[in-house]
Amino acid sequence: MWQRFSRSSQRSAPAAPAVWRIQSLFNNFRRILDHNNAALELMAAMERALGGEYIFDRTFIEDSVRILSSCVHHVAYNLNALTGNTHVALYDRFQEIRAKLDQILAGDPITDPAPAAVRLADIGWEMEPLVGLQAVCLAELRRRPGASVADGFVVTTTGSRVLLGSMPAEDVALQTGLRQTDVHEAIRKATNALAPADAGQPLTVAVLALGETDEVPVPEQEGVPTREVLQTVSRVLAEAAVQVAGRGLPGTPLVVLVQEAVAAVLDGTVHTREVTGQRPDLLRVTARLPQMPESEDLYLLRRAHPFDILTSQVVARPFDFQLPDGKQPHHVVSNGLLRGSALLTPAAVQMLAEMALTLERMLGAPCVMHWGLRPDGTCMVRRVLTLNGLAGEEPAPDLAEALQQAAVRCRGGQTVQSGVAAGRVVHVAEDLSPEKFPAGAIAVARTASPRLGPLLLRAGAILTQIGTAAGHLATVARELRVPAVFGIPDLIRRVPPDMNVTVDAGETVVYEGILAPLLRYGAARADLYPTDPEYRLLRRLLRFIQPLRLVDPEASDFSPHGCRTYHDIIHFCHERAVNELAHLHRRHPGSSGLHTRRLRIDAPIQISVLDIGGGIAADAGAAPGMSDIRSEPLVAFLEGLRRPEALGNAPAALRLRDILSGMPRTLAVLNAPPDAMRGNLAIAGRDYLNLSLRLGYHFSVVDAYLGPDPPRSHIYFRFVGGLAEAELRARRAHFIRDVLASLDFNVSQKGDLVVGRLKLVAPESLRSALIALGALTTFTRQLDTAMRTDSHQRELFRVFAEVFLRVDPSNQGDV
Amino acid sequence: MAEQNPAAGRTRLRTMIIDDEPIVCKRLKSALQKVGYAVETFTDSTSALGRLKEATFDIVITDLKMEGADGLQVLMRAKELSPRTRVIVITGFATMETARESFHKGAFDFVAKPFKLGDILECVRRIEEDLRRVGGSPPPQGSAV
Repeated sequence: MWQRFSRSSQRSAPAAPAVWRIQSLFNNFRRILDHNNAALELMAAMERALGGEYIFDRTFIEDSVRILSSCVHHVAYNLNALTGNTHVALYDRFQEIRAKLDQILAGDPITDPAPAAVRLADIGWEMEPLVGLQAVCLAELRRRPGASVADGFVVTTTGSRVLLGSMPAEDVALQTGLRQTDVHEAIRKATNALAPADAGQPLTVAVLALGETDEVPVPEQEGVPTREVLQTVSRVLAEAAVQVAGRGLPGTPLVVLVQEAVAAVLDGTVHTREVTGQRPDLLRVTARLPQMPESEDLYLLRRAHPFDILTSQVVARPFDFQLPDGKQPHHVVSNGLLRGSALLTPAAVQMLAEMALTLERMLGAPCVMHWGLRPDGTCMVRRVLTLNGLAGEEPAPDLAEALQQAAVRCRGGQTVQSGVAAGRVVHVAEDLSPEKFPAGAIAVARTASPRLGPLLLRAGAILTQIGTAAGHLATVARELRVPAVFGIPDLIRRVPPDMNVTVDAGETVVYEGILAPLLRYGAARADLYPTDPEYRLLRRLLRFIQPLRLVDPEASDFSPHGCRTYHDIIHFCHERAVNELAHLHRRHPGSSGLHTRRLRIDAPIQISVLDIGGGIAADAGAAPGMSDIRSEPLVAFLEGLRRPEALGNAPAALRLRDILSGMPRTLAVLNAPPDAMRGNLAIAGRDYLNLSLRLGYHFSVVDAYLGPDPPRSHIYFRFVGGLAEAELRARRAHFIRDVLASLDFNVSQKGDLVVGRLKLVAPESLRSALIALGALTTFTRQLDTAMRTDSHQRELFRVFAEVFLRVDPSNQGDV
Repeated sequence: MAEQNPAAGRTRLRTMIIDDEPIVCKRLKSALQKVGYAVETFTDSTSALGRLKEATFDIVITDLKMEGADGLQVLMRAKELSPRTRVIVITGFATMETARESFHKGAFDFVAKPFKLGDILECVRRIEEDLRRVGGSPPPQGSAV
C-alpha cells in the first residue's frame, strides 16, 4: 500500500520544486532591485554631503562605506544566485574596490600604482594627496571657460620620493612600484608632450612642499630648456628637501610643477582678502612690470560682483612711457580722456578679481593668486596659495546685529551647496543662453532643470522653487561650489527680479539687500571646504564608488572585469538580472510556474509581461487587459503609448537606400541566435518596470521605479538603432535627446545611442515623463526617414512638444 | 513680504561644544558665533569637564561616544554643576535606548548625526525660549572667554 502511495507522490513531485524555484528566482531579482536602490540612495547621500548640507563626522563616512559595501555585495550575491553562479568574477572586482576604499579610510594615499608624473588635464580633486592642493586648483580652473592656466604636469609625491632616493631603492620600488629610471622616463615623456624639444619653448619649474598650505621652499626656476627639465627637477627637489629638513620638517611631501612659461609683459597678485585687517570686505590687486618689480600699482575692490574699484594707487610714469597695451599715458582713449599711467584697465582689474574669487570658492579659503599677462593680452593664472592667518577668523561684532535687523525674503528648501553670495536677482528660463546671464547675479528658477547647468559658471548663486539636493543640477552646483538652495516654497513670488539679495545657502536664508558683514564673514567656517580633510576623504572615496562607466550593455567591456566602481557593479548586475529574467523560461526548461503573458491592449506594438509581484491583478487571465495592470510605471507608459495623437504619424515611405543602409546592423540582429533577440517584454512589479522594446529597427529600454519611496524613484531610458542613413539616424538621436532634456533627464549621446536618467523628482513629474516616453515610442516610428533636414527635426520636436511636453509659460524668465 | 527674522532679539548665550571630531566643533562653533553666541569648543571630555567647573554655560552640546568621560557623564556633571544648563546630546550611534537614557538623565534634546545645521539652531532657539520662560538670564556681554 505504501508503494502505491509512494508512486503517486513521485508523479506529483516534479511540479512543486519548479514553483518554489521560480519564486526563489523572483525573490533574488527583487532583492537585487532593493539593494540596488538602497546603494544608489546611499551614493547620492554621500555625494550630497559634499555640499555642506549636513554636519557629519568620520563615523558617517565609515558607516556609509560599510553599509554601501554590504548592499553591493548582496547585489552581486543575488545575481549569482539568480544565474547559477555565472558571474563569480564580480566578487573579485568587489573585493578589489573594497580594499581600495579601506586603504583610503586608513589614510594610505596610495590606492593605485601611483604615477610619477601627471598632466594637469588629468588631475582631479581625488588626486590631491599625490599632487597637492595648488595643482588641483590650477587643474580645475583650467577646465572652466574663460580661465587661462598654463599647461603643464606635476611630478607627484611618489615620483619625488623616488627621485630623492631617501630610501633604499628596493623599498621604494616595493612601495611605489617605481624605480628611478621609471620616473626619469615619465618626466621625459611628460616634458616632450608639453613642449617638444624642437619647439624651443622654455618651461618653468617650481617645487611645492605640501602641508596645511602649499609652500614654495625654493625660488621658481624660469626659462628652463626642455633638455634640462629632468636635471632641474632633481636639483630643486634636493634643495627643497634640505630647506624643509632645516625647518624641522623632514619627510614633508614634495611635488614639482612644470609648466609652459608665461612670458608675461605684466604680472601681479590678487589677495582675495585685504590682509591688513582693516577692510576684510575688500580684495587687493597688484600689477607690475616684470623688469620693474618695485614699481607696483595697487587696487582695492569690493568682493561682491561687479567688484567696484574703491581705491587705486597708480605709480606715476613718464607721459611717453610704453605701457603693455602699446599705448602711452598721454594717449587719448575712446572716451576722450587721457589713458593715464595705470598698467591695467578697470575691466582687466575686475576680471582678475572674478577669477581669484572663483579660486577662493574652489579652495574654500582666502587665497593669493599670482597672474601674468601675455603679449597677446591673455591673462594666465600662475600660482595659487592659501592665505595664512585667516582660518580662525572671528565674526565681526556687527555681524549678529546685521543678521538680526535684516529682512528675510524667504527661508527653507534644501541646501545643495553651502556658501554666501549677494547680487541682483535674475529669473531664468531653461532655454536661457548662458552668455546672456549677467555674471555674478543670483539666478532664480522655477525648477532645477539640468539645462541650467551651463549657467552656473556665471551665477553668484542659484535658487529654485522646485527641486531637491539630489539630481544633476545639484551635482553640478556642488562641483562648481556655487551656493545653491532648491525647493524653496513660494520663491518666485517672494524673490522678484532685480531685487538685491544676500543668500546664505548653508542656512537656507535669503536676505533682502547686500549684507556686507555677512559677505565679509563669508560662509564662515560652518561650511565644508575642499581644504577640510573630511571633504577630501569623501571625494577620494566617491571616486571608486560613484562614476558609472559601463553604460552600453552591448559593449565588449560590459563585464565584471570592466567594473571600476561600485556603481559599475550594481549597474552590471541590474542589467544582467533583467536579462536573466527575460530568458528565464528558455534557461530553465520545466519552469512551468513561469509564464509571460501577452497584454491585450489597443496599442501599435505587442508587449508581453512578466509579473514579478503586484504588477498584474491576481485574477487576471492569460491575456491581461489595461484594467488588470497594477504596475504604476507600466500603466503610465502604456497611457502614452496609446495616445491617439502619437498614433497619428504614419510610417514614412522608405527609400531603398535607407533599407540598404540599415542592413549591416539589422541583418546581424536578424541572423543572431534567438537569445539575442527579445520581443517586447515588460518585467513589472507594483512599483517597478523594466521594458525592453523592439519597434521596427529601434531598440529601447525603459527601467523605472515609481513607488512610495521618492528617494528611490527613477527612470532610466536607453535607445539605439534605426533603419536609415547615418545622417538621419543622428537626427533622430538628437530628437530623442531633445525630448529627454526637456523632460529634465540627464542625457548623454554617443552616435545613435542615447541614454537618459531622471531621478529624485516628484512622483507626478515621473509619471508625466513615463507617459511622454510612451508617446515618444509610438510617435517616432520610422521617423528617421522623415527627418531629412534639421528643420524637419525641429518641426517634429515642436509638434511633439506642443502635445506631450507641457511647458509652463510662467517658467519663462526675464532675460 | 518679509518674514520675521528669527535671529532678531537673540541673546548672547554661552555655549560649550564637545566632540572628538574637530570638524564638528569647527562647523558648529562658526554657525553659533555667526548669530552672536559665545562659544568654546573641546575635543576631549576631560578638559571640558574641567572647564565646566570654572564657568557656567547656558548650553552644552556634547557628543555621546568619546574617550574618557562619555556624553552621558558630561550631561550628568553639567546638570549637577548648573541645573539651568541645557544639554543637547549629539551622536552617530543613535538608538532608542541611548535616546531614552539621555532624556532620563536630563538632556534637553537628542540629535542623531549627520544633522543639518538648522536642526541644531532650531534646538538652540527653543532653549532660548525655555530659558526666557523660566527667567534664566544670559551672562553679561564680554564675559565669554
